[in-house]
Order: sequence, then C-alpha cells, then structure tokens
Amino acid sequence: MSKENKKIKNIFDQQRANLPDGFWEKLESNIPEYKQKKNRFLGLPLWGCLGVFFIISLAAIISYSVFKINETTNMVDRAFESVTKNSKLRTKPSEVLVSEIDSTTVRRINSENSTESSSEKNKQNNTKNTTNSTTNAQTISEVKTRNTTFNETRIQQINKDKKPTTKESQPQTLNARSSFETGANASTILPITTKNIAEVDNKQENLMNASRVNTDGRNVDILSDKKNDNLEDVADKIIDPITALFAFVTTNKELVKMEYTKVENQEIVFERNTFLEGGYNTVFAQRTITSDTRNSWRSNKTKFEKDFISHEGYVNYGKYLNKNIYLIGGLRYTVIKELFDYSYDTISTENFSFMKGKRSIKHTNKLHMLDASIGIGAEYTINKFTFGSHLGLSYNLLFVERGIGLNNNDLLQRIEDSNLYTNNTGLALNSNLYMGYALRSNIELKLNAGVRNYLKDFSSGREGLPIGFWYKAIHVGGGVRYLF
Amino acid sequence: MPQQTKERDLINRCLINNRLAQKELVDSYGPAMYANIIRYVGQTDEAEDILQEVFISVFNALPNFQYNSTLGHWIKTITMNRVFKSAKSRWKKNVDVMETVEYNNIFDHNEALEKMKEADIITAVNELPEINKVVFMMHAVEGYNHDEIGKIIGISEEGSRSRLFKARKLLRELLSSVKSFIL
Repeated sequence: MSKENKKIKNIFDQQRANLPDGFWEKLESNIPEYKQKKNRFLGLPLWGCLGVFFIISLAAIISYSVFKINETTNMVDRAFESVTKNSKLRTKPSEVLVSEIDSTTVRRINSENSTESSSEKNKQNNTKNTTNSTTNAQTISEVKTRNTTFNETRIQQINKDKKPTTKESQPQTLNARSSFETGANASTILPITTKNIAEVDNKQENLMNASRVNTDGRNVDILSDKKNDNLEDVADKIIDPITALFAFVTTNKELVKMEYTKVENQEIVFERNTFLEGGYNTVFAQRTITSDTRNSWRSNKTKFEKDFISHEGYVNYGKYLNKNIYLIGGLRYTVIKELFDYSYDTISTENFSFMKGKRSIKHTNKLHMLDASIGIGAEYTINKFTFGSHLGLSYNLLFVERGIGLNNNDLLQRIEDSNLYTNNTGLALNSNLYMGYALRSNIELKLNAGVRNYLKDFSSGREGLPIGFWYKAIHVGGGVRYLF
Repeated sequence: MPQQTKERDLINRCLINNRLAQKELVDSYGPAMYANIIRYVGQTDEAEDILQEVFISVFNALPNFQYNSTLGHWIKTITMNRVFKSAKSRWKKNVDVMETVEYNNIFDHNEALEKMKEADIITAVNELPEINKVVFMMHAVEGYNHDEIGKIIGISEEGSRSRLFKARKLLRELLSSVKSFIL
C-alpha cells in the first residue's frame, strides 16, 4: 500500500459518526433472543445423582445375588437340621476332612442297585427300622470342607442293614452334568442324604424328599425340605436371570443348586444402636427472586447475580428405633457462593442511575448458613452395603453475609450494610438418599445425594421493598458413619 | 483487561440476552460502522437502514462467531458486504462507458501529502461522484485490488481502474483549491 493510501486509510479509519437518534430503541426490538444453554450447575448434580443411583442399583443387584446364594445355603442347612432333629439323630457329628473321607462314605447310589435292592429288603427289615435308628445316628458325621459344612451319612451301612418299609420318597432323576467345574472333586462335595434318614424314622418321611442327581454317571441324593419345596423348586425361584448373571452361572440349575450349598453364609450382621456421622457435600444452590412490584429490579438482579457452586460440612447423630428405622439429627454448615457481575460500560439509567459510565464490578458473595436438622430415615442392609434415605426439617440461621448487591434504592451496596437478608432464620425440607459400605463392623463409608427446599423467604420482612430470596439446593457428597 | 478477553466477555454477556451488553456492543462499534456506511452511501435514511440491518445480522450471527478475527474486523466485514450489496444494483445502472486510461499517481509529492489536512481530504473525497468515490475508497482505504473491486461491485477490472483514475483526477482538482495542498 502506497504512502498516500495509508494516510487516507488512517484518516477514514478514525472517522466516527454519531448514531442516529433513537437508533438503539429501533434496533432493540429486532435483536433475537438467544436460547440459553442448560445451566451447568443444574446439569452437574443431575448427572451426579444419576451416577450415584446407578452405582447404588448395581451394588444392590450384586448384593441381592449374594444374598440369594446365602439364603439358599441357609435353607439347605435348616432343612437338614430339621431332619436330624426330628429324626432323633442327636449324636454329635464328628468332624472329618473331606480329604479323609473315602469316596464310598459319601452317598453315591447306583441308580440300578438302589431301586432293586430297596424293594427286596424293605420287607425283611421292616421291624428293625426303629431299633437301629440310634445306631444310624452315629453314622452321621459333619463334613467340613473349605468354608462349607455338609452332613454326611454312611449310606452303605444303612443300605446293608435296613431298607425302608414304608413308602419311600421317590427320587427324581435330574439331568445334572458330569462334574462341578469348581476345581473341587465332585465326589468330595456331594453332601447330603435324606432318603435313609427317612428310613431310620418313618415319622419324618413326609418332611423330606430326595432328589437324585446323576454325577459322573452315579446318582446321589440331595436333601431338600418339603416345607420349602424341593431344591428344584427352590432353584427355580432363586435362580432368576439376574442372580444367575451375577453368580456367573447360566446353564445348569442343578449345578448352581449344589454350588449354592457350598457357599458359606457370609452375611454380616451389625448390631446397630446409635451412630455418629460426618462428611462433606458439594452444594448447587439456586436462588429465585420474587417481587410483586419491582420486576425490573428483580430482573436485573437475576441477570447479573449468578449462583455458584457452594460447599458444606455436616455432623449427624442417629438413633435406631429398630433394625431399619432410625431418627437422625445434626448440624450443617453451608457456604453459599454467588457471583455478582456488574461489568458493562453503559447501562440503562432507568434503574441504575448511580452507574453511569464505565464500570466493571465482579464479586463473589458469600452467605454462611447453619442448619439444625432432624428427620426420620429407613435403611436396608445387604451384606456390606446399606441403602437408605431420610426426610426431615431443618432450621436455618443465616448468620454471616458478605458481599455486594443492589439495595432497595438500586444502589450497589455491601449486603451486610444493606440488610438484604432480613430474615435470618428459616425452615427447610430435606430429603436425602445414601449408600453405605461397611469398611469394618462399625465404620461405614457413605455416598449421599439430596435435595432441600427452603420454605421461608430470606428477605420477606423488609419494609418498602417486597422482594424475596428463595433458595433450593441439591447436594452430592460423601462421609463416614461410626456405629456404636 | 486484554482486548480479546474484553471482547469475549462482551459477547458472552450479549449471548445471555443482556440488553446492556448488547447496547454496549452497538455503542462501541456503531459509530465507526455508521461512518463507513455514510462514506459509501451518504448521510441518508438508507445509511441508517443499512446500519440497523448490519447490527441485526451481527446479533443473529453472534452465536457463531469463531474468534478468528477481532470482533471489530468481523463487524466491519459484515458492514462492507452489506454496503456493497445494497448499492451494487444502483451502481450497475450508472456504469458508464469504459475508458482506457493510463493510471497516474496524483500524490506525487510526499511532502505535499504530509501537508494536507485531514478535513480537506475528507471533504474532497466526499465531493467525488458516488461510483468514483466508491472505487477510490475501496482501493485506497479498504485495500481491494481492481479485480476484487470489479467482482464486488459488478464492473470489470478495467472499469475499476478507469474510475479510480477519474477519482484521482477529480481529487487533484478539488485539492488544488486548498491552499495548503501543493502538487
């Protein structure tokens, strides 16, 4: 560009022309309204809550599966205990290791032999059943292997000496697979007999059914309690798809059923009386301003004063009314932050007559609040996980206010001087959901999320300026609970 | 606050429908844009209409502003495009016979140029016939070459050269009357 062109360019670039009169007023009505992006402060807690509930749900499903497995184990144990008790087989079982047991000591009945021999000997030994019941009792031993307790009967002796004279429970032949795929020898973990107990005590025959499972080509009997249906039915009820999925078993109910009997009851039972808990929450407070007469002032405050992420700490004390219901009360200290951004060059003089000219004011206001809360809650414990919720009321005290804001004369003023929040006390409705994980028998880590709605306006008492500040808050956080 | 940060801040506030920020944007860039428009169109009602259309376009496109240039440059581009588009049809009607002339620099003496007063130059340029003034301004102020000028206002490259020559010739005559200007 030549020198003369540069000079001319500079001259014209510096030219300014006063805007036509009323230009802004004409233009203002034609400026499009922009759609606002979703408030990230609202989106974040929403996703946070969803995340927490997803984790809780997943944990609940997994825990439910484990619970079902334990329940099955207990069911089998109870059934066997019932049988032995009613059969007057009270001899203290001897404990032997599975590895020490000859495979023949575990009941394996050849399907062919059992059915043939039983019919013949039933008649011969009918009278001996009662007298030999005590002897048979001695054949029962409790076999402990790994974490599993089985009761085992020396079937061979029973079968040699006595055969049932009354109707014998008809064994069901199940299509079990060849062997367990758990690393344990199938012959060492097939546990229980009932048919021969029925032989010992005819009175108890109605209590029991025997199921016969073919394993490695041999039939074995598995105990079931008639009161609880047989294990086949139990398995049908228990092994729902979700349980099977999380038990990593999908194919064979019988295998699952027998595997269940191996699972030790690992349910942790806490003695719950009282608890003390504390923690931290991230708070997403949202302020709503209401005003009947000062709409312009309210709208300007809404525009320039934004809610911000806040923080709080809490301490609660709880008392269990029973296993699942508890009362809770505590204190919560919250620091509510609000970003006040009055950065603009020229502003309307209608409502901001004090702010002509260039101003740029940014300030983060802090409101300090102390809540005293009380509520009632319910919780449910599955193994190490506790899921619960509580509802309650809290009494709030807004005791430190620092910052700036538009006062009732449309002037920027320190809020501690302007007394914007004249109602320093209020009530809030709280709801809280949480999930706890037991680190130890008396210490739980907990995740919690909740909502609270402040029922009382923080400024309704001001004369001459009917404007109200209403707060809602969502909190997400965690803490520790100590159980006494 | 750095200029870029300030611009971002202003745009962000405009995008949350902050009327005061939007007015701030208009007040900041409007006078320069209005001067640009007047330079080409003259101080008429049409200039005001164009300015309003420019700012409506600016606000419509503001969410898509990519910060590849300054906000001022972006608004000026929109303004000039609108000015050229608006006046193009009018200028087409006035396309005269293309003259083949030899280009001569009217400002041969830098010393004389330095002595020229700004007001004199502005006055002289504003007195040029419209189409010649447009070509002169586009070339001297906006920095377009003749090919670009021809495409923008719908005349040939030679036509652009011709009008620039005429504009310079007229300017020489106009400026010669100014005492301080010495050719």
